[in-house]
Amino acid sequence: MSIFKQIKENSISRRTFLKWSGASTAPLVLGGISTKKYLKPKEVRAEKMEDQVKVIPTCGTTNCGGRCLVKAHVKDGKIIRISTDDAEEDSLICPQIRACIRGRSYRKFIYNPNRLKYPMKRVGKRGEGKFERITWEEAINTIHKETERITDKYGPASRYSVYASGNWGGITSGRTMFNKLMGLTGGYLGYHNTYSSAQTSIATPYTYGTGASGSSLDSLVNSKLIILWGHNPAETIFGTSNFYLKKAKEAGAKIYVVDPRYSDTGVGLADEWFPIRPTTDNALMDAMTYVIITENLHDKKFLNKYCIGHDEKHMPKDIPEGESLESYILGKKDGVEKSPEWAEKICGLPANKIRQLAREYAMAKPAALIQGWGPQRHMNGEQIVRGSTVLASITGNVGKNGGWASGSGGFGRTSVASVPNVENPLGITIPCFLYTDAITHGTDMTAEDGIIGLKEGEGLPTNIKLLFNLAGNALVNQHGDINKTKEILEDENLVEFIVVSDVFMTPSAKFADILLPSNTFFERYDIGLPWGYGDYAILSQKVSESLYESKSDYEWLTLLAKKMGVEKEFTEGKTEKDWARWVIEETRKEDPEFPSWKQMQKQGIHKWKFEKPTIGFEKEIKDPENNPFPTPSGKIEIFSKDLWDMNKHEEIPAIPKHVPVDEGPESELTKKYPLQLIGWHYKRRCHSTHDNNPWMEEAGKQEMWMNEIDATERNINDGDITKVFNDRGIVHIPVKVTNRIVPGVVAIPQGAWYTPNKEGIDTRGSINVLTTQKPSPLAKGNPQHTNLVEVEKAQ
Amino acid sequence: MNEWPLLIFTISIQAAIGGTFMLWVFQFINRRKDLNLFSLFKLPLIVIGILSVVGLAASFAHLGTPTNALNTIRHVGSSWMSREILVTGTFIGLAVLNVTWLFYHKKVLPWLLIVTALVGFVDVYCMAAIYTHSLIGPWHSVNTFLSFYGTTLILGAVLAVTLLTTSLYKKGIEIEAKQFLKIGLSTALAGFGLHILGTALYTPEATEIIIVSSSISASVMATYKVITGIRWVISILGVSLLGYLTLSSYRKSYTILTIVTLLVFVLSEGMSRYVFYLLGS
Amino acid sequence: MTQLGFYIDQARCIGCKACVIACKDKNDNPEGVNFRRVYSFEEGKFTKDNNGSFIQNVQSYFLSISCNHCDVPKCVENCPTTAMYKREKDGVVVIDHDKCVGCKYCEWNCPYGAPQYNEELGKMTKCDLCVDLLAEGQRPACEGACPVRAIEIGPIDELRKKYGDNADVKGLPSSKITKPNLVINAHKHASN
Repeated sequence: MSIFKQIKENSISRRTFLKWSGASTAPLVLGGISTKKYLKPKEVRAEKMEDQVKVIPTCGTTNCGGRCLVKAHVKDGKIIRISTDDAEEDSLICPQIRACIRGRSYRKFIYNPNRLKYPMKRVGKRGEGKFERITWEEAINTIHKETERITDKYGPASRYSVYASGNWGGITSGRTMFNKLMGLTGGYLGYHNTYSSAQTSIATPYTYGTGASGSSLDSLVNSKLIILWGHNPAETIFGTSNFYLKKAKEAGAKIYVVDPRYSDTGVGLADEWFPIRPTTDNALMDAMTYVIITENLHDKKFLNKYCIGHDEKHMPKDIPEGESLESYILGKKDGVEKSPEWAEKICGLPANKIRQLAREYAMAKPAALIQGWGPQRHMNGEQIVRGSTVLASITGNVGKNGGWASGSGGFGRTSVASVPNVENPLGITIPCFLYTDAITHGTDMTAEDGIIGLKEGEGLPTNIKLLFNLAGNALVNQHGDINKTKEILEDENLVEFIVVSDVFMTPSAKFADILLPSNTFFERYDIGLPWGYGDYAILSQKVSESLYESKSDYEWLTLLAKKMGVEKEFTEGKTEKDWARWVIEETRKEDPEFPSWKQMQKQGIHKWKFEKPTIGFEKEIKDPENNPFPTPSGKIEIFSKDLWDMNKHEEIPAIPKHVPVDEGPESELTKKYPLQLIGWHYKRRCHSTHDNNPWMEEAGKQEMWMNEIDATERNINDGDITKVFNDRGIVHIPVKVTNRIVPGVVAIPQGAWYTPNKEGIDTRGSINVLTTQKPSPLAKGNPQHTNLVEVEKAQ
Repeated sequence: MNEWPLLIFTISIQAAIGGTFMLWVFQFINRRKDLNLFSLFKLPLIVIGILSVVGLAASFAHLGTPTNALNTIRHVGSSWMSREILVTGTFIGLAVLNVTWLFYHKKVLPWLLIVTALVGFVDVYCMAAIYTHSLIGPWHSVNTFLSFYGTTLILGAVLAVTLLTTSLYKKGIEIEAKQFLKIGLSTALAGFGLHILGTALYTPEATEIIIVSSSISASVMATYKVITGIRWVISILGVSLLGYLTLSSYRKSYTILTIVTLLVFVLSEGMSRYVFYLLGS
Repeated sequence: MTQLGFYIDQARCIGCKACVIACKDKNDNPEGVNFRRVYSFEEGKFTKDNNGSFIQNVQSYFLSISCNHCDVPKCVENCPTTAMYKREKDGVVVIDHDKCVGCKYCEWNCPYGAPQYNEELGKMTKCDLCVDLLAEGQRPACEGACPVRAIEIGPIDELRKKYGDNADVKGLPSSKITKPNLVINAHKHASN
C-alpha cells in the first residue's frame, strides 16, 4: 500500500514549508468562510459587531424536555446565531442549562420558509388541505359566529380544546387562554391526563397516594446502582438528567438500562443493557421479586413498617387469602411460580441475567430504579408503573438518599406565581385520549370511561361539536389510529367547526375550517419552566417582531373575547408581556431572591440553589407516625384495596402483575402480525415539532429500527424502503437494520408528519397510522407502543 | 459517482499523451522516407489539441473556484496535485505548440513531439500519484499507475491508428499503414497487458478507505464487479476489431471500422475509470 | 507556539449531536456540511435461545470528531494552492479562501473527514476551532454545547497531562497518519 510513500520524503521539510506558506498568507483567517473578500467586511463588522449584535436570552416553549436557555444573537432584527447558558458556575447544585440539538436549531424553526403567513379558510373538503387567504377580521368574525351558533344549539359542553402542547410555556398559551375565555362564557368540556404520562400519573398514586414520587437528581450521586427502565434522557433530554447521570457515574454508580432498544442513553451511560420485549416488563419485575424474596434479599423491616400487601400477614381487611404479593409470586394460588425460568420465555431476558439484575438491585444499597414514561405508554402500562414501585419498596429504596421510589417520579421544589384563570362552570373533564370517542358517542360515555365530574350513570351532555386546536398536533398526528381519526374529523356532521392555530401546515392544521398563523416563542413573552428536574425559571422573551401576519394565541383570543363581550375579564387589562412581568413580580413578593423584571430581561434565567438533595417521601420514612403516606391505608400500598374494589381483577389487579395484552408477544394475533412495534422520542424532534427542520432531518433521518434476524428472515437490507402494516393502516419507511433492538420488535420514532400518498399509504413514517384508539384499562391512557405489525419490502 | 469532470479530464489527457507518442513513433520509423507529415499529422494533431483543451475545460469544471486556478501550482514542493497541474499545463501548452508550429511552419517538429510525449508520460505518473497518495484505499495500489499508463497506451494507439491509417491508405501509402497498424496493435496489447497486470495485483475488497466512517458498500462493490466484467468483454471486442483491421486488407468500410474501434476503446477505458472513481467516492 | 487541541470523553458521549448543530449554527453551514460530526458504531449480534430468550453481545458507541489540527496535516501537505495552512500561533489549521480553488483534494487526504466542500462558496471549509470565540474568551461552540461536558478544548499539552495521550479508538484511522491534537477517553466498546 505504501510503496510510493518514499517519494513524499523528498518534498521539502515541514518547517520550510510552513515558513513559505506563512509568508504568502499574510491575512489572519477566521472561521470556515475566510476569503479576503469575505473576511474584510467581516473584520469591519467585527469592530461594530459589539454594537450591532445584541444577545437576548429567551426560552423555547415548545413541549420540549430540555427547556433550555436560548440566547439569540440578534442583528438588524434578525437572529444570526444561537448560543446557550455559559454561566461561570456549572456545579452539582447549579448546573448550566445547556440547549440540546433541538434548542440549537431554532433558527430553522422561526425562519422556516414554510411558515403559515396569514389567516386562511378552508375551501376544499375538510382535511384535504385546500385553503384561501382571508383577513384576520374575517377569521375572527367567522370563529365568533360559529362558536355562538354551536353553543346555542348544543350547549357549552360541545366546546372542546384538543390536548395541545406546541406552546407549553403556559402562562398565556392558547390552551390556558381557551379555558379562560370559554370559562367566562358558559364553560367547556375539559380534559385530564396527557399523551405523555397518563398511565403513570394515574397508577403511581395507587401505591404512594401521590404522583410526586421523585427526588432531586443531585441525590443520584449517592446511588450505587441506577437502573434506567425504559428511560432515555439522552434523547428526551428530560430536564438536567444527562448532567446528573454523568455526575452519578463519576461518583461510582453503576448504570443499567432495561429497554427493548440499546438506546443512546444505554450506549453513552450504561454499563450493561438488559433487552426485553415490550409489554413484558412485569414478567421481568415479577421474576426479580421472586429472586429477591426467595433469596431473602428483601428489606423485611421496611416492608412490615411501611407497606401493605406484601405478604398474607399484611393485608387490608376482608380480602380473601392468597391475594398478597408473596402468594402471587410464589404461585400459591395459580400454581405458577414467577421464577426467572418462567419469565425468560415471556420477556426474552435469560434467567441468569434476571437473577443478576435482581440480586444487584437488592444488594446495592441505595439503588435507584428510575422508570421512563415509554414503558407506561402501553396497554398494560399501569402494571409496569406499579411493578416498579413494588421493587423499590421491597428493597427499601423509598425515601432514601440515592434510592428512588420509582413510579411517575413527579418532582418540583420551586415554583413561580401562576396566572389566574377562571374555573370551568361545567366541571367535566374527559381523558384527553378519548376525545374522538367524545365526538362519535360522547353522550354514551360515563365515569366508566374515565370521565370526571359526571353523576353516577350519567353520560356527557352532548357530543363534541366545536374544536379548538391551538398549537397542537394531537388532533390527527399524535393521536391514535390516524386513519380512523381522519374519518371522524372529515365528517362535518360530527364536529361542525374546527379552529386551528399553528406555525406550520401540520397534518392537524389540514383539518382546520379556519387556520390561523401563530407566531413563535421568539415573537412573544412567556415563562419557561422545566419538565420536572431542574430548579430554574426562564423568561421567554420577545426577540423579534411577529413575522408575516402571525399573532400569538393570546392576541387573537383577545380579539375573539372582545367580540364575545368579555375582553376586560379575559385580559384583565394585560398584554402577554404584562403577564410575564406580573408573574415575576408576584413571585418576588413570596421569594425576594427572585430577580426583578429588569434583571430577568438581562440574565434570562433564575436558578434556585439547594445545598442538599430533596428526597421523595423522606419525611414519611423518617417519621411515619406524623407523616403517613397519602393513601387510604396511610402505607405504601403494594396491594390497593381501591383497585380491588373495582372488581376487574384480571385487567386491573390489586397488586401489579404481568397482564398479557391483545397486541403483545403472547397474543394470537402474532400469527398474522408477528412483530411488535414501538415508538420512541427521537433526539431530532420534540414530539412532532422540528419534523420539517432541515438541519434535524440531516442529524436524524426518519427510519425504522429492525433487528438483523427479522430483516434477514424478510430479505430486507439496511436502507430499504419497507411497508409496515396492520389492520389499521400502512406506512412506508426506510429501515435501519441494527442489533441495537431486540429481535421481534421494530421501532418507529414518533412525531413524523403523516403524509399520505394517493393510495392512503403514509410515506413519511408516522407511527400513529398503526396505533390504536383503544385506551388502557385504568388510566384510559394512550397505549401507543402496544402494536403488532408485519413488515415487508415496499414494492 | 460524481467525479465526471475528473473522468473526462484524465481520459482526454491520457489519450492525447498516448496519441502524441504514437505520432512521434510513426515519424521516427519513417524518418528516412519522404512522407508529407504536414498533411498526415494535420488531423491527428488538431484532435490531440482539442482533447487537451477538453481535458483542461473538464479540470476547470471540477474546481469550485476556477478563477483561483493559478494558485494550484503554488505547492509543487509537497503536493502531487500541484505537480500534476504544473506538468499537465506544460503538456497542454506543448500540445498546442505542436499544432501551432505545424500550421505556422507547415512542418512537423519531431523533437517537440517526443518532448511533449515525455512530459505527458511524467504527467501520467503525477496523475496517478495524486490518487496513490490519498487516503482512499482502493486507489492506494500499483494498479492506479498501471491502469493510467494502460489507458494512455491503448487510447493513444487506437487514436493514432484511426486518425492516421485511413489517410495513409487513401494516399496509397499502404506498407507504412500496415506497419503502423501492427505497431498500434502491439501498443494497445501492451496497454491491455498493463491493465491485466494491474488488475491481477489489485484487490479492492481488501483495501479500506482510511477516512473515519467511510467504507466501500456492498452495493458499490457489486456495481464495481458488474461494470468491470462488462469492461473486459468490451476491451476484448476492441482488441479483436483492431486485430482484424491489422490483418485484413483495406476496404471501403475501413474508416467506419476504425472509428468504431476507437469508440469501443473509449467506452472500455471510460468504464475502467468510472469504477476507479466509484470505489473512491 | 501553544498548540491547541481537543479532549473527547467518548466513554460518556450519548450521541445527542448538540455539538454538531451548535457548530452548524455558529458557522451557518448548509445541509451536508458539518464541521463536527458524530458517528455511530455497532458490533455484535443476537442469538435466539431455545426457550424463547435471547443472548446478545451487542456493542455500540458514538464518536464526535471535527478537525484535529494535526501536527502532520496531510491536508496542508497536499493542498495544491497553499490555502490550507497551520497557524504558527496556535497550530490551528485553517483555509485561506483567497487562495482556495475548491479542488477537494484535502477531503481525500484527511483521515477525519474534516475539510468539506461548500457548494455555494465553491471553496473547502472546515473547523477553525472557533478562534474568534476563543479570542473573546468564550468557549468554542461544540465545547459549550455538550450536555455531558464531554468536549474540552485547550492547549494540547495540558489536556494530555490531564487525560493521557490516547488518540486511537476503534473505527478511527490510526493517529500515526497525521498526529492529531486529540485526546480520547475511549468508550469501553471502542478501546483498541
